[in-house]
Amino acid sequence: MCLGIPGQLVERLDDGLARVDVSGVRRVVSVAFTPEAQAGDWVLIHVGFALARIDEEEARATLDLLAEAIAAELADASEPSNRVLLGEEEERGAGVASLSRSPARPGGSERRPGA
Amino acid sequence: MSVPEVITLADGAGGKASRRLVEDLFLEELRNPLLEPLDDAAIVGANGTRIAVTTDSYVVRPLRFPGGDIGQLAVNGTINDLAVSGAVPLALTAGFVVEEGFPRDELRELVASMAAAARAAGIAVAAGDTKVVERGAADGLFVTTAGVGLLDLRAVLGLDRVRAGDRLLVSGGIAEHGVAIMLARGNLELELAVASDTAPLDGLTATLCSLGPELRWMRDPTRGGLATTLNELAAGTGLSVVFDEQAVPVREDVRAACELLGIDPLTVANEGKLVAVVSSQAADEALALLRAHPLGSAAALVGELREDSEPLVLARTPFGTRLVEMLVGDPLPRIC
Amino acid sequence: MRFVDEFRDGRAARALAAELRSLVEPGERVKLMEVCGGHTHAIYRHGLDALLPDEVELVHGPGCPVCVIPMGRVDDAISLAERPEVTFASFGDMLRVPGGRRRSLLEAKARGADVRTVYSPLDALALAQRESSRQVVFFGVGFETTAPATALTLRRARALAVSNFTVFCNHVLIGPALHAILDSPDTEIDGLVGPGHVSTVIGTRPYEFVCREYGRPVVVAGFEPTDILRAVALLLRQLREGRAEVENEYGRVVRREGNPEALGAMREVFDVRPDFEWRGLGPIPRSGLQIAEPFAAWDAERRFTVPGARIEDPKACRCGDVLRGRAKPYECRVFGTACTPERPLGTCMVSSEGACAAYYAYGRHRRSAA
Repeated sequence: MCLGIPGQLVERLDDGLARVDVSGVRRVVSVAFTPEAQAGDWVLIHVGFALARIDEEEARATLDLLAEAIAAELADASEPSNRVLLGEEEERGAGVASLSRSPARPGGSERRPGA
Repeated sequence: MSVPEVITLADGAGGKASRRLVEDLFLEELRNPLLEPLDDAAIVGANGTRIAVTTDSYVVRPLRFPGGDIGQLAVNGTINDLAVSGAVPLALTAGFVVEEGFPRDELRELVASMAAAARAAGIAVAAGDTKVVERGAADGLFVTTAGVGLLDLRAVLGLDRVRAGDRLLVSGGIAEHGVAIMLARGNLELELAVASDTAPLDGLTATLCSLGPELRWMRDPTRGGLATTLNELAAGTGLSVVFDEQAVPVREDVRAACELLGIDPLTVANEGKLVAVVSSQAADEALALLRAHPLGSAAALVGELREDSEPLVLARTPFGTRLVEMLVGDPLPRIC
Repeated sequence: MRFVDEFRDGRAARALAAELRSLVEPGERVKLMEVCGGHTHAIYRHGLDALLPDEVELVHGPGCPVCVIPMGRVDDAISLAERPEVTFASFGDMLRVPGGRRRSLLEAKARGADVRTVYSPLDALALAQRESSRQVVFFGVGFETTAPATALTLRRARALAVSNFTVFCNHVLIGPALHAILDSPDTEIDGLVGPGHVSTVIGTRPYEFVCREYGRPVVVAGFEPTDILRAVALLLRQLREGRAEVENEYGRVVRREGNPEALGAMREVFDVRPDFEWRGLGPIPRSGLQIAEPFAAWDAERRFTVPGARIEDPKACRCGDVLRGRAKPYECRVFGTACTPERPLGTCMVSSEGACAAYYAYGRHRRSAA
């Protein structure tokens, strides 16, 4: 069961509920399963429930691996580094990509008209 | 293949089932040269002039929603069917089927709204009809319209005018009307300031008509969304429609609402947007014309038509391409 | 959208695709099962199948809790919805699923039943509170991702003493389904892409039996394109190295021990049914949930009588073989003819995540591009 969307907790409410924001859409959800989540935290939302807190460190680590895979592919097209994918600890550290870096997307910014 | 013995909501949703109903039942029975193109308006010739004629029914629930109501929808929707056929709207008629017990002042407000929309568009509701039916038989109010327009002589439009290499434009952000309606129906509890984009497009289409024969075809993607309109384009031309998914304008919060509900914005209804096919030489000019107009400020060039072994609608993603199918029934929120 | 767009990076996906090519031998045949319908959907939605090497075949597994509801249970749902006093609240996914005689909730609605789409079971409960003269029945479907939500809603219904709310419980468990698929002697699957969101609840430990007992690797994956491609890479790497372990690709939301509050809610509110029938797979022991005694007053099956008929899958239907990776959709006699997305005969065609539904749309494209 699958449709889980990341959202940011905006405010805790009474009764085990909280308001979350997903790119400008807000919804009241239950935080019964993420009781420690605070305003500002990111959570995974499924059928009106926050099922898990999103671990930003882990997310960053995964994105770093992806960045390294891109770099490896560019550096040597015939021998991409397989170790990059396995997240071996010693590989991380150098050239840590920032989570707020916005990856360049085809199509650019003109497809996002203002609200 | 068997079909259900009763008409279901899927038959009215604007997608595959609707198409089948129109072709297998209505066209089958009514067949005549004027109807066969199954365009938004029929073109009737009379004494050397060419008149566009269209009809539409409005059964929207709820009757009022953020950004509009059934009255505005009826006026703008009818104007738009004329406009995308390359016609200058002349007059509308409106028939009302009212359910017994409907509050009189609510009816007045909706008709006043209709009048305001017509005035704003510079057009008159010239004739009408009213019927009252028993409680339960009409879900409040149904409105049926007819529209008449005079063909803009600069425009030479039709699916048969479309060529491989022609380019595809969308006039602005999609999915706003359908999402506004879904939220207004009340059970999804999303807090989102989205309003229906209902608007008369005749000003926009008139600027495109200045392109003359370089403008090939236009349509307003209503029920069934852009996906349905593009599939009609592919099927009607025998060409494949290939577009950049990320080039299609969608407001960020509307996209987020669709993600939350598991709905594809390409299948969601619009009421104030148009799709246009132009020659590749005229593509940049067409985009500039749209963007110069208040209703087209977010317009984008999104794709092209090409020869293929089978006419398909294909979306380029950052990863590959995917097939875009016509909707089966209404878009339903999903959890899976 | 944050935590979404970054994982949909095209360059990363292409880099991963190159990795995948380096991890297979030409002519090798590797069959990986993506358990979860959401993965199937993501693959087709983003066109990821084009990035996989020809040597890798993805088999769509039983993780579509909508598809696997037996026709008899859909008929039971329809019978509840048709009661004049009932407002039947359901996720949108279930509305088009046909029961026996190809009727669905959507058709029941067309015939006058009060069927409403809801996003959350909590909304169904709120509906019951607002419309106190109606009997609101919520159609509880889903794996362990969704069952805790229903559990919490039932707790809340009891705490607030909402008497006009019941749940028609059809929640199912992923573990027993995996056992059933893997137990079958001619199942041809080399590794599993594990369901990412089920795992936020159950953790990654429940998949360890797949490695121990069946010797196949499992990688629990997220749903964005780079998640899926990375998971395939990790599986191929394990196969090359002769390993069979559970790896977690989706570390940003999945932890090994899962979510204790969610598991606790499920244990409190549900019992495991001795048997539950899965469309396409037949009865699987201890694979379905029913409402436990302390919450009996909110159990639709105890408040109302349902027909409870057991309807055979159509004879021509080969969904069971497709789900086990033994047959391709187009090898089924009725694929595309008597069984289409608009008029599905079997579970694999029923929802857009079903193997046959996905292939029906995708297959035309592939054949045209060839």
